[in-house]
Amino acid sequence: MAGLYIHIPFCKTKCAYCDFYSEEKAEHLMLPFIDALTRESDLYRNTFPPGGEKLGSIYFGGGTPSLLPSDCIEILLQHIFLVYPSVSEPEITIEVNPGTVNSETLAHYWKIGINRLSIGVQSFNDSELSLLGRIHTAEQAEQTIRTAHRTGFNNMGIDLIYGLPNQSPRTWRKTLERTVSLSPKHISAYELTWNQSTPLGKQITSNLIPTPDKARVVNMYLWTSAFLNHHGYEHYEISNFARPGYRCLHNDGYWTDKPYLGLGPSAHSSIGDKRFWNVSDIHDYINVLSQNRLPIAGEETINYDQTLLERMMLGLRRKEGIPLAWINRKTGEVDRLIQAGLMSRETDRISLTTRGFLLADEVALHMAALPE
Amino acid sequence: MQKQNIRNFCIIAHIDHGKSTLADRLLEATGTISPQLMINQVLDDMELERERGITIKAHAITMVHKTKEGESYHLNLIDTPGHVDFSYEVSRSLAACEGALLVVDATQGVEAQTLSNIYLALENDLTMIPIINKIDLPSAQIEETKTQIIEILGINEKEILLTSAKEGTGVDQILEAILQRIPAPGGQTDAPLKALIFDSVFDYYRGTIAYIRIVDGKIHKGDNIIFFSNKKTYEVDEVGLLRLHRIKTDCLRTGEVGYLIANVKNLKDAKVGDTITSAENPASRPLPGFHEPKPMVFSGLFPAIAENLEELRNALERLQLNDAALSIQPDNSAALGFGFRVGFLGLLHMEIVQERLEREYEQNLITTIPNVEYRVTQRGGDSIKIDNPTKFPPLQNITKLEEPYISAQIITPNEFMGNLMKLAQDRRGIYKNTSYLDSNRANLQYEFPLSEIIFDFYDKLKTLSKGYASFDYEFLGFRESDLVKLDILINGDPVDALSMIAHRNKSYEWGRKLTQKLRELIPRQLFEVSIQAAIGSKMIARENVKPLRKNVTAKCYGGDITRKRKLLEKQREGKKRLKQLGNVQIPQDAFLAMLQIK
Repeated sequence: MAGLYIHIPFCKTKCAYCDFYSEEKAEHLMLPFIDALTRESDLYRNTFPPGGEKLGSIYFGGGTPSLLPSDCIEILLQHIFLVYPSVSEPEITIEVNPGTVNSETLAHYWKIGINRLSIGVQSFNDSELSLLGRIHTAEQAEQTIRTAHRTGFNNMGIDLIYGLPNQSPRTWRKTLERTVSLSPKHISAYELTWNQSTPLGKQITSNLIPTPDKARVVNMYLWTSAFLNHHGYEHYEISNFARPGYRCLHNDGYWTDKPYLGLGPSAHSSIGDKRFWNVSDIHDYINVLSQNRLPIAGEETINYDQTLLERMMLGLRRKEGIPLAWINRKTGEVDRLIQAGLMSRETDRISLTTRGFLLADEVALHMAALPE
Repeated sequence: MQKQNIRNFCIIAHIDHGKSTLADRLLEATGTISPQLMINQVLDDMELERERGITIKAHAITMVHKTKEGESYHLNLIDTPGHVDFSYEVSRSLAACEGALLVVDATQGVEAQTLSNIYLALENDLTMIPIINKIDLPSAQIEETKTQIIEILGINEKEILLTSAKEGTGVDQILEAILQRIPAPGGQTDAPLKALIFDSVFDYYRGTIAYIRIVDGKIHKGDNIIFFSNKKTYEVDEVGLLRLHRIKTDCLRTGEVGYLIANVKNLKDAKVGDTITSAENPASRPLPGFHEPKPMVFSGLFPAIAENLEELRNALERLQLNDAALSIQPDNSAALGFGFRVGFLGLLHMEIVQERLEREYEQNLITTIPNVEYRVTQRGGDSIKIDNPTKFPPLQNITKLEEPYISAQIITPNEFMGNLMKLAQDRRGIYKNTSYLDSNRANLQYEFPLSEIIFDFYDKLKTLSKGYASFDYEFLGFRESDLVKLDILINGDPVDALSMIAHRNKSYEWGRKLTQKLRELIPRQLFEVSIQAAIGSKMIARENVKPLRKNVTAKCYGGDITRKRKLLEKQREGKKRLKQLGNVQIPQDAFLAMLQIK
């Protein structure tokens, strides 16, 4: 099964922490953008999905995809199904910003076949929301979730961010409790990562607001895992939790080496040993596609060694871990990791423990740097 | 050239007192080099020397000087290295001269190195021409400097010349004094050949080029010669004068300075200080003062990547072609694999060699803690010299341990005496004597274990005296000492390359400081790392590097994946440069941790 990612680069206002590509106040570009997207999807008509596979998931990410009129989404989806063969009921997710949708929008989504929502709640604390530069309140977020439930969306994910400057474990607990009380099937809890180029990053680097306390962030992570486990959520990836049967198929594809095509500015694709990515700027994107050329900014063919490193780094992110065979002759290291409580082993697979998840990159690096 | 028209001299000065600038002015004034051609400080031709402002290798140059009366003289300027590491080389250069220009910076006055060079000059019966330089500077203290010089040399004030080498003032008087005051070379023209090698360099096309001073007799192309120290004979291929380039001549005569090429393949066969004589008509005795170059400081040099061992060997051998003082032996460390134990004249020599290996030969090196050579007497009575702590026999087998001592003089303004005496005490110094150069300058004499001054003694001395004090030393001999071997254990395993020899009274302090420094230098990793210091089986210090708790990317989708993979690839390359000791990764500079301890 293959995945299709569509990047919608529009935002009402950019959030203080976000370094994804998007444009503010660019509604006038929406129609040319939709036109460019359909052209781009056409250009992959015969090459995607590769090797006779079928499309298993579609993911509208951003930016703020819910800012796009739902009619546009409908047109896009119709076109996609025209162009690519797909399984009978693919997972179709759209990221929703609580401040941008009402019950009609959600109902329209449901009608056109979208069957999963990823709601960017981030926090149920209003002062945290304003620190993050979100355009909605905690109450609006809760109402959006309730409306979505009523509309029929059963498969819903809530995105949260923790490890904010000055965040107390108490406000985080409150956010989690309120989240759980709304019974979403899926929760993503991301540690705040701030890039120096973002407004929040600038404030932190110039000491206007404090750096989140490292030890506290570690403790919050461990507590989050335990808390959500207790409430029936499986910790299936470093930052992702789901009730049984409700993992995000699309995202799981990234970590299990499934092919995916990214459409839209700055989107990345991975097909076989090819990695390629689009130009970031929406004007360039539209311009290149108006000449029916692919808007690819860069590409790379990765070798066996790089493939192994990538698979290991991604595989270790998942609860199921990686086959033991991938780290042949390094089993002494596995034993040490097990002893240190960072890893567990089940016959022919090894995986990281919750504490190990916190060191996933270090473990991948450690394994990759060991002499054969 | 007739010997009465030859003057052989050198310039002795403390670092930065203006030796090279004065040499430049002399070269210009005699027309040896035109000012347009002048690159500053012609005599220092290695990049590294120029950066450090010191002359590492001695060179020589013949200047042809015509007097107003039209008489022609050969002025042979023999350059001398300017650092205490090279004091033997200095002494051999002085031995090739009859006179010395003693240059003293008017803003600094007499310093320790000036003083020890004056002693060397006196030992070689050189006629000294004292010159006060930098008189143009506002901070020049001409009268005080004069007083110091008069005090030391016991001369008349009228004999002191004043110059500003930078501005070129006083140069004519200096040339005049060289002709008038420095005696022409002595020696017997009809005696058997005696030539002193005062320097030698290696040339890939010609082999060793010896820089020589003819003391007695003469030497022609085609002569058969013999080297006193090793009794090897050679046929002279070429002799000549050293101008800006080599100028071939038929013959070098008594009193002359020049070069000799005789198909000597190895630099070590033409040792500095050795005497060349004629194979057919040999002199009965060599010139006095020769000894083998003697390394004082030893360190392990290992390739950062084991496969580069051969490359490192080649680089070291090439360096050795031009540096007979460098001793090289294969070494093998459990921690660092195969490498070399290298002996240096001193710490500066070591730094220069390291830098040249890294810069000119692009070697990625791991250097271990430098140490001196110890004399160990074992049960049964045999006494051996050990230059590597890992080769130390077990303490219970040792009946006597000796370490090298030096005699040092520290010249300092009076106000810093207290600071410096405290420093000397910290370094196990034995106070001998104080004398005064003038009302404000003391000359402190101490004896030190060499091991106490090879690291940061000089820096400390400068800091404690606001840069005013200076320091010089010479080797005294071996003395019994209460020494112990300090081992460092990483995760319980001793790391041979981190062992050191320390005085018992200081071993606890060293143990504590070393473990603390290593804790800073070893990055946190997946597992805890314990660092212990031990003497024998007794643990004396311990530090832990706590394990990492977090290194993870929260979000990893699409583009994040490529970015992360590329970062890991880069970090993996970085990790490969770390040294794997058992299951701990140690950065290369950890092996020199001791040098970073303040």
